[in-house]
Amino acid sequence: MTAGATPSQTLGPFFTDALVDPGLARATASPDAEAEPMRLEGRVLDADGSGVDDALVELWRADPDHPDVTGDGHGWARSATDAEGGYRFWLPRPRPLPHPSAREQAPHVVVLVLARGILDVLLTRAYPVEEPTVPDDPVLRRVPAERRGTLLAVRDGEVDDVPRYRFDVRLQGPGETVFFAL
Amino acid sequence: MNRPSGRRDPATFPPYLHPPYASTVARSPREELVALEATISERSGPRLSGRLPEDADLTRNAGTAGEAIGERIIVTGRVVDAAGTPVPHTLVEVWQANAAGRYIHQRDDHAAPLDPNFVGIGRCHTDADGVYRFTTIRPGAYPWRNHPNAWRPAHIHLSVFGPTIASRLVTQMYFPGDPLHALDPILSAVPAGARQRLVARYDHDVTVPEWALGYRFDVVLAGPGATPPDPGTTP
Ligand SMILES: [Fe+3]
Repeated sequence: MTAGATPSQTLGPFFTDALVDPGLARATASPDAEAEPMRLEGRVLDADGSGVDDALVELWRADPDHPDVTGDGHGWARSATDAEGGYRFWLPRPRPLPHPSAREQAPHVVVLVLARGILDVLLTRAYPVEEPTVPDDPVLRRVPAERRGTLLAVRDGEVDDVPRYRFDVRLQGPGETVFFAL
Repeated sequence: MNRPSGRRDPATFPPYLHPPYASTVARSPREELVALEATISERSGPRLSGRLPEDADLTRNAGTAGEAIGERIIVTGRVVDAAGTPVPHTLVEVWQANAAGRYIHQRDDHAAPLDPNFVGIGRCHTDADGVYRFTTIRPGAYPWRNHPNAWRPAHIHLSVFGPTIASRLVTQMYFPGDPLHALDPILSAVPAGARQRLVARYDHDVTVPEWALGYRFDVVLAGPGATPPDPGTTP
């Protein structure tokens, strides 16, 4: 018999030094993969639109060439939010990914949000796009049309010649980000 | 769409909104989560042994020559997936208050002493059989401002990755027999039938004679749930 799953609990406020190293905000690609760089930046906002200054944001970029697990931390990054709720990642631009249906998935990364007051990891996706136009994607198609825009990371200039995409996470209230259940 | 699923089984996982824990009120999504059929993005995950190396003795990892003050304990357990299969070589991170109930953190202003020989941070990787093991000291309870005379029961924070990003778990381990359990709105946010899974078990076989008391805390990771119905069939 399988034991029941272990319940989740909040991250709490006192994690910072334990979990965060500035070097962890940079995701890498496996050495054999193409790796055009991009930045993903944004803020975590609460119901009042205030920045959540004690959140932890994690990023996962699946690699179509390594469909199970990637070695040595490739594709993964972690950033604590700053006083304004801001986080920032460096990462190799995601590539289209296969999907159980015939259509492939538009390039995206998985974004996890944890914080004091969040009782289980919140899982969402960021789709980097040049214009605020919803790409054709089998997962986005499951999302109510009026909420799909919350999953777009729209191009916002560049930093040090690296294209920057902005992705704010609204935990609650107008424009609440779509979170997924698995 | 929007039905309960494996990863968010309401008999196991706390709701996002749990008003007795005040911080949830403005930080909980109010829209229903959208059911997602796990794809390659959710069925893969990082292996982090190269980036975050082992550091599993919290009694001696402060960078001082000294040893942490407190009741020395060993915390060990097995990490398994939803099918009960051990998860080898996955990262387990822990953080905790010191024996007096104080964290080394700029926002912790509890009037309890800091221990110069204790930073309260550790990490290890499960072995080939899915087993992790830490040496630490038993943390103290500490007050917080959630409600009048609020105290957190003694606990150790754990972060576990597991086989895929969908199995990512952040939780807290509690100690058996603590009278603060029933008074804690964070532990009590967990459905009653699953709450005991967060309480470690004293295990005399883990206890090392003349050295440290042993506690066992096994972790069962939830996996992706069933395939959601096609949106075309949902009312
Ligand atoms: Fe704590």
